[in-house]
Amino acid sequence: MSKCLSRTSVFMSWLVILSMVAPGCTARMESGTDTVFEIESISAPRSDGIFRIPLMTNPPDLDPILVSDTTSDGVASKIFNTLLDYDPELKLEPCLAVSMPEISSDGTQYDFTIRAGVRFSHGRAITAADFKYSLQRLASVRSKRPNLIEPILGASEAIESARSSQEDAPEIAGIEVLGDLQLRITLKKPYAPFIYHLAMVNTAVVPRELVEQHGHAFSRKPTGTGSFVLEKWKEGTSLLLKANPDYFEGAPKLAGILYRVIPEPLAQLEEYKAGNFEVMAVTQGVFPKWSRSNRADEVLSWPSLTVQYYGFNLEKQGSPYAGDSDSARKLREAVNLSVDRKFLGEVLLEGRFFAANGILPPGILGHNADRPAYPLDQERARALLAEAGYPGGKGLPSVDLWFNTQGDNAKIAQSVQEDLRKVGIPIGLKMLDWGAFLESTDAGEPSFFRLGWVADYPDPENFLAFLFHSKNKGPNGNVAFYDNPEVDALIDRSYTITDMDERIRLLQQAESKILDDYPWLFLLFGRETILIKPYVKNFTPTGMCDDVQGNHVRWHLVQIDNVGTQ
Amino acid sequence: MTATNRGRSPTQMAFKRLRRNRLAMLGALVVMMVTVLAFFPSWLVPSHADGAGPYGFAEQFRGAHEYQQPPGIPGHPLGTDELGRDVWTRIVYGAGISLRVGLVGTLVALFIGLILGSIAGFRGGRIDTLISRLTDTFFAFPSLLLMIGILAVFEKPNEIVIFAALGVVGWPGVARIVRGQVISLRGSEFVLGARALGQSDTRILIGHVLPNCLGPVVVVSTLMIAGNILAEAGLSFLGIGLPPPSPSWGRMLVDSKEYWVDMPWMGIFPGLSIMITVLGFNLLGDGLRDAFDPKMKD
Repeated sequence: MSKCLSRTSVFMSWLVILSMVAPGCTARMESGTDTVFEIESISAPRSDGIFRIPLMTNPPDLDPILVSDTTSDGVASKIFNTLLDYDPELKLEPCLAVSMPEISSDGTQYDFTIRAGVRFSHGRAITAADFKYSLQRLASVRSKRPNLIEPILGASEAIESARSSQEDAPEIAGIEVLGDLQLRITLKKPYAPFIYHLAMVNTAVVPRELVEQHGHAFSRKPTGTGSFVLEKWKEGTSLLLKANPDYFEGAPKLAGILYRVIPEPLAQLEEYKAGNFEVMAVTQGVFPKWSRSNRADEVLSWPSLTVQYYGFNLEKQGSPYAGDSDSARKLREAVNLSVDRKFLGEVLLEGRFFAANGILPPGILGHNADRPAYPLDQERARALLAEAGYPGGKGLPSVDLWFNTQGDNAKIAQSVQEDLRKVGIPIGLKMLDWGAFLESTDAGEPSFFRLGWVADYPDPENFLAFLFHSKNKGPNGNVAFYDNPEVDALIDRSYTITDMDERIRLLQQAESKILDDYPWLFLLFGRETILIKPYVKNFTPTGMCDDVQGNHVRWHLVQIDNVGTQ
Repeated sequence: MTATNRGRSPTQMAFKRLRRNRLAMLGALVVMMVTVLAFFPSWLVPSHADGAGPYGFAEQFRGAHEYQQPPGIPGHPLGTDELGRDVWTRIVYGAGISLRVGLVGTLVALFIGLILGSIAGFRGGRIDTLISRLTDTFFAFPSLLLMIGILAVFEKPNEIVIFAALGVVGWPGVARIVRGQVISLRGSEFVLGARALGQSDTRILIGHVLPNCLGPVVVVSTLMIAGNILAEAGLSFLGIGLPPPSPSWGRMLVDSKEYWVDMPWMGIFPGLSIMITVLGFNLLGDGLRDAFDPKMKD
C-alpha cells in the first residue's frame, strides 16, 4: 500500500516539476526600457453611461458621521455635499456655501451664506438649520469623528452631555442659525485649520426628517444633495448610484456609477481587461508592464498626500538614537544618508512611492519643492558614524525595527536593513500585526519603528502638529516623542493667524527646525496610480483622492465619451 | 562468500531490506543532500565578499542591476528575488532552517512522547487513563491552529519557539505508538526475566522495553520530520513563522506570491525545495516502515 503511494507521488512530483519549470523559461522580465508589451484589453465604451468601479471591500457605513475609511468616504462623497470643497489645485472653494466664509478679525467667528435653491434628492430645499443639525450630530455618541467639531464653542460640553443623554444632535451654542440661509459658527479660540473640517464628508448636510425616520438605517439609505443618489445596495456585492438630475451644479454627464466588490486584485485586473470596469487601482506588477505597453495611455498617476517614515523614539532609554546629544543626532543623520530611497520607490515599489525630501509631501501647502530629496551618501554616513563615536559601527548596539505585517512593509524593512548594514549600522527586524503594533508604538515601546501619515486636509498643520507637537506625544500621533519648544511655539502661533501665507511661512520654519534634528528616517512620499479607460473624460484626481474612489473629483463632469459608437 | 549461514539480527535484516528498496534509497540520497546543504552552506554559494551571508544579498546588486533577474544569469543560477537577493543562496541557507526545524521539532516531540507513552504503557491503570485522555485531548486540537496559538503568544518567534510548538503538536502521535508497543512488550518473557533478576522498573523500561520499540519510533519520526518541515513552511506562509529576513522556504514562497506572474522562479525553487525534501523524508520513512515490518520477507 505504502509503496504504491510512493510511486504515485514520485510520478506526480515530476508532473509538478515539469509544469512549473515550463512557464519559468518563457516569462522573463527584460531589464531594458525599450521593451514593449502587448496587452489585450477591451476599451469600447458602453452606451448605458454607467461608470463601473471595483471595490476591495463593502463600504461599512454611508452615514456621514460614521464614515471613517476611504471606501465609505469615496461613495458617501458622491451622495453628500459639504459647505466647502477643494478645487483641482487643492485650494478650498465654496460648495454649498455661496462664497468663502467671512471670518472675524479675531479668527473665531465664521459667517456662511448658504446657496439658495439647493435641494435634497427627495425634494426639500436645504436651509441653515439643516447644517446646524448635521454638525450637531457629530457630537452624538454614535459619531466616529466628534473631534471635527470640538473647536466649536460649546461642543465639548455637548459631546459630554450626549454621552449621558444619548441625544442624537445635542445643542451646540457655537452654531447659530441667523436666517433661512445664514449660518454662524463660533470657535472657542482661533483655530485656523478648522475651515478644512467643513470640506470633509463627515460635516456634510443631511435631511433631519429622513435621519429621524430611518434611525440607524440611514447609513443604508443615505439621502443628500450630491450628484448621485443611492439606487440599490447589495451588501458585500455591489452598489448602484443613479445620477441626480437636479444636482445644483448641473446634471451629471454619467447615467450612474456601479461599484462591485472584488477583493482579489488579479481578478479586478482581468475584469478591467475584459472591459467590465472603467478604472482600477494599480497593484504589484501592473505598473512596470502597462507603462511600457501599447496601453501606456491608460496609466494615470498623481502624488498623494502621504509620507512613509521610520521614526526614532527619542525618549527611549538605552537606545543609542534617543536624546538630543550630538552623537545621537549624528547617528540619526547617518541613518538618513545610508538608505537607497530611489531603489525603494522606483524599483521595489514600482513607482508607487518616491524619495522624500522632508515631512510635507507635494500637494500640501508649504511643501518645499526646492529642497532635494535625501541622497544616498555612504561615505558621509560612515564619517558621521565615526564622529558619533562608532567608527565602522564598532560598539553600536543593534536595535530592532518594528513594523506591521501589511503590504510592502517587510520588503522595505529588509532593504533598509541591508542598506544600513553596508554602512555598519546593525538593526534587527520585528514584525507585528497592526493592532499589537499600534498599541506598542503608542506606548513608546519600540526604539525604531515604521509608520506613515495620510493627510486629512492639505495643510502643513495636519502633519506638523500631530506628529511633532510635544502636547501630542504618544497615541495622539507624536510617537517619536519629539519635544522642541521652538517648534511648539511656531505651531501654536500659527493657530492664531488667519492669513494663509503668514501661517504657512511659520509652519515651514517649524518643518526645517524639525528636519535639523532628524527625529525620523525620512523615507518616501506616496503616489496613487490607476488604470483608466481612454474614453473616460474629465476624471481629474487630486492628492486628496484615494485611487479609484475619486474623492473630490468633480463627478458631475466625468463623462464616458461615446463618440466612437455614435 | 555468502552470508547465508551466519545468523542475523532483525535490525540487520531490516537494513538489508531497506537497502534493496530503491525508492527508499532515493529518499536517503535526498536527505543526505539536504543535510550537506544545511551543514556546509558556505561550500555551495557564491562568494560573499560583501558579507552577504544568510540574507543572500548579491554583491552590489543595485549598481549591477541584478535585482529581479531570471535564473541563469552569471553568479545567480536560480535568479534573484525582488530585493536582488540570490535565490540559490537563500535556498541553501533555508535548508539549514528546514532541517533544524524538522529534526529538533521531532526530537522535542519524541522526548515528550517517549516519556509519557512509556509511563502510560508500563504503569497502566489510572496513570494510563490520565495520559491517554491527555493524548486524546491534544489529538482533538487542529494542529495548525494550536501552533498558531502558541506562536501568537510570542511577539517575535524564533526557532526555539517553533521547535517547542512543533513538539507540543507532535508528541501525542509518538506517545500513542510507544504506549501500544510498551503494552505488548510488558508481558514478554525477557521482561519477566529481568524482573525475576530484581531489576527496577526504570531499568527494565530503559534497558529492555524501549530499545525494542525503536523500530516504529524511527519510522514515525522520519515521517514527522517531513511533516514538521511542511508545518514550518505553512506557518511562514501565513506570516507567523520566522520573521524576515530569515530565508525560510515558506517565507520565500509567500514573498513570491505577488510576483508569480512576472518572476515565477522566486516561488518555483523554494516550492521545489520543500517538495523534494519532504518527498525524500517520506520515501525514506516509507522504506523504513516496510523494512521494519516483521511480516515482510527477505
